[in-house]
Amino acid sequence: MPGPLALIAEVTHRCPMHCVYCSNPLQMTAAKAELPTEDWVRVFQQAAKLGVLHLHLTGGEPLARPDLTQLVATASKAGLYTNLITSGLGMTEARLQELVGAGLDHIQLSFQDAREDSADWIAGTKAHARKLELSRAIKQQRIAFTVNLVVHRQNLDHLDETIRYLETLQPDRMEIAHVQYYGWALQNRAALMPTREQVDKALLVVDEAQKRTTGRIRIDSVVPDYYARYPKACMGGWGRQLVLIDPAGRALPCHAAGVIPGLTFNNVKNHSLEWIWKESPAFQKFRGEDWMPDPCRSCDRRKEDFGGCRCQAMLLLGNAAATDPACHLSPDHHVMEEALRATQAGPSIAQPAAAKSFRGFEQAVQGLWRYRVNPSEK
Amino acid sequence: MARPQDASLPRLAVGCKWAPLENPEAEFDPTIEATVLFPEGAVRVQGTGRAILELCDGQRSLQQIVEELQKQYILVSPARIREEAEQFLEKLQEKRIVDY
Repeated sequence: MPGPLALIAEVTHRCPMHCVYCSNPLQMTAAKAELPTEDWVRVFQQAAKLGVLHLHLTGGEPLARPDLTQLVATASKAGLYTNLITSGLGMTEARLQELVGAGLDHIQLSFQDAREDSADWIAGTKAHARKLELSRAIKQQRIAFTVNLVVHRQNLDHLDETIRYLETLQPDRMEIAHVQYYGWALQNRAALMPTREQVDKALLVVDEAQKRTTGRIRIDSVVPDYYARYPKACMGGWGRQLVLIDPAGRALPCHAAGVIPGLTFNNVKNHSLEWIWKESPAFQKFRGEDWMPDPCRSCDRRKEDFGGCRCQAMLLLGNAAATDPACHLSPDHHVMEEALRATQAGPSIAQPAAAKSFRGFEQAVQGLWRYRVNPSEK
Repeated sequence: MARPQDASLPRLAVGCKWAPLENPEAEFDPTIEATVLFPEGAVRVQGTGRAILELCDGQRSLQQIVEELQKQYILVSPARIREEAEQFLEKLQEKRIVDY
């Protein structure tokens, strides 16, 4: 069996941002339970031997780890393509230089919006201005630069403005991703789910932007599966391409797999990455086609979408082994349609609230959404 | 962006690099195929594609690259080699894997 192509390392769940669509689980790892440097070093070396090509350092905010430069240096030396996914908070020019010197290949900087008031309101903290400064510093370095923008009901109406603004930062690549509804995003679905009109218009706007920037910026987009006819090939199939290690060292097939009951996610403290990939029950659970129900079992698309997302089936249907309800062929597709109808009646586009502190933002958005909070200190 | 010119100096774009060849788990034969890594992706190249890319070191001009390829592929007409190299590089430039 081929090894994984990419390793997603959630090196910490600590983060100065409180984004309302955070992909982290609701139950997060406390700082004290995070893997120490030497365990990450071993995992990265094992990953390279197992055939992993890309390492994605993410979190939380990876810059919260004081040993980040050492982690990058180890990964780079092992031959991994090293990508840092960051909010930028905690970065200084000196630290950026250190990271690039250690072999960092690519930096992916998140933006919430082009408009500062809206961006800070979505993040629950004043962060936008800092990201601008950092973009300029990144452009001084020999490193690939991606800007990432998560889109949803509250920022889609001025998507064209936002993309044009992000173009001025001169990234090599732009990622425009619709919110995926897991973790914190699922809790805030009513305020974040776009309308059909917004989704249709966004497709045209992105298409135009791609034409406008060909040869300068590669624009990748992630479409919303609630409005799709077929499900997404989540993670390229369960246990087929990716492995994610959470801050405590548990290995999961994706960000959200912890929501599926009855699975034991083995820890890299006790097992090699190779054993976890090839032998551990959790990675085998939905690998291949044996687990598939109808209509997936006999569907021609099963080799393309692998039955969609197991976590979405769990979260929306209570059954991780069901066909992803995003598929119009799913007998449970009405659940998706009902969710869309319900959210269309939900809160409309709100006026960005301003506040000086996180507490202030929390009070200002009551009834609209709940911010992601940080893991406990214990 | 337009196609590369004779004097263009094609090279892998910033943040793009060759994957290590000595990968014990690799499913492919490193004497035939090689992999270029870029942000969020990888592309396997072999044959003429690999030959072209390996010459894109930022030192050689497109003109020199085409001349070297002519030595390797003596049965192919120079015009065709040039056309293929230009097309290939333009395609990779649009994906931000090559600059010139």
